[in-house]
Amino acid sequence: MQQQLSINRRQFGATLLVCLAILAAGNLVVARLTAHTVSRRVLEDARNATSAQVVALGNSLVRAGFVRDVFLPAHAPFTKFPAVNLALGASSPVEQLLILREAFRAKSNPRLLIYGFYDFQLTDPLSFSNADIIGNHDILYYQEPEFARSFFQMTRYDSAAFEMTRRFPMLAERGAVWAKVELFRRFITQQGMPPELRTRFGRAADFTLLEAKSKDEFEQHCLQAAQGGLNAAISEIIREAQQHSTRSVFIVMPLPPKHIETFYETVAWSAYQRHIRQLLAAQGVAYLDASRWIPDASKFGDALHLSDQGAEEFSRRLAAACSDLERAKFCEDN
Amino acid sequence: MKRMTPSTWLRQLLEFLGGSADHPPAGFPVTANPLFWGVWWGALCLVIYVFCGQSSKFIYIDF
Repeated sequence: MQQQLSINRRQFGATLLVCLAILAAGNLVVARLTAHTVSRRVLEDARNATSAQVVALGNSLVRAGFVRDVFLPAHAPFTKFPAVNLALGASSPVEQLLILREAFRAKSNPRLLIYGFYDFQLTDPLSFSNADIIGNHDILYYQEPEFARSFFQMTRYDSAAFEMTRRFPMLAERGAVWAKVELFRRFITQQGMPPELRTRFGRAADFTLLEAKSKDEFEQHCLQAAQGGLNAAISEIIREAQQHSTRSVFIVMPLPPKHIETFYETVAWSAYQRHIRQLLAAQGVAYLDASRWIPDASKFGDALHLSDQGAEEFSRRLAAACSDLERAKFCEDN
Repeated sequence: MKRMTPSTWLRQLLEFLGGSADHPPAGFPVTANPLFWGVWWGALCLVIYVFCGQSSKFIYIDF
């Protein structure tokens, strides 16, 4: 004989309350466990960078490539000018702007801003869906979200989801939880398989996905991007740096020979480069093409990032190029 | 009368706990205790939350 489970309205309400209490507890646990995420640690670095005279900003290419201790050797002219690396992996210019603003807010007054980029980071319009905002993008939810929203596009639906998500740590920091599950899943799938090549940022093979699919696609992108201006977040980074009397130098980061040969040795890229150079010059920003500085493929950990050895070489050369902060002409293309 | 196998009983139990069946298998103590069902559905929500990120693009895990 089958048993019947019948509950009245009051029991249902009590069940719902218990369920919500469990979710609220989960929310608190996630908030506690994600109090020191990567983006929060970089923001903390920005708050503590009050004596920094040189700030490096950008995405993971700068995070991996700018070695503060090599950029500031004991005998170098920068000895009196501590540098700080405030680059954030997997970030767009909006997140980078938020970090720079936090540094300025903490009474940091750097004399030089080194902004590293690759491909179309300066000109591509910024748009997100709410689902895109995981990982280090989480900073958009909690660091000046109203200000940040004016620098990227969203559909009305995603905008509403963004507003709701940012109020619940369990939703805003979902990527941190999912990443743990994903790492576990990868651990399981790796059993009995040949080890995957990994860098400090994850699976090396994944970064090939961030490159253009083909030369044609890249050239089309160049032609399209060469018609537009700098995106709003980049313009704001420049404006805020100038407001704090900080000189800015924008650097095309070193890239592996394969990326250079496939994409950067094209007429379209040269034309695009001329275009962004003009845009930056019009705003008094120095431009440095370091994309070919490291011609040895073995000094890259994956399709985009410098290895430790490559990063040291790049930082040493960058220190030499930017060795004189006092002179008007510094970090000129060489 | 045909005897229910343990696997059938377990399937019916999971179907009941998951909400796809209205009746539990014979022998399962039925309770309307809101605490039990609140904890159960809360735990299910948490499990779904933890495992629902599979379709996300996890390129950067280690940052």
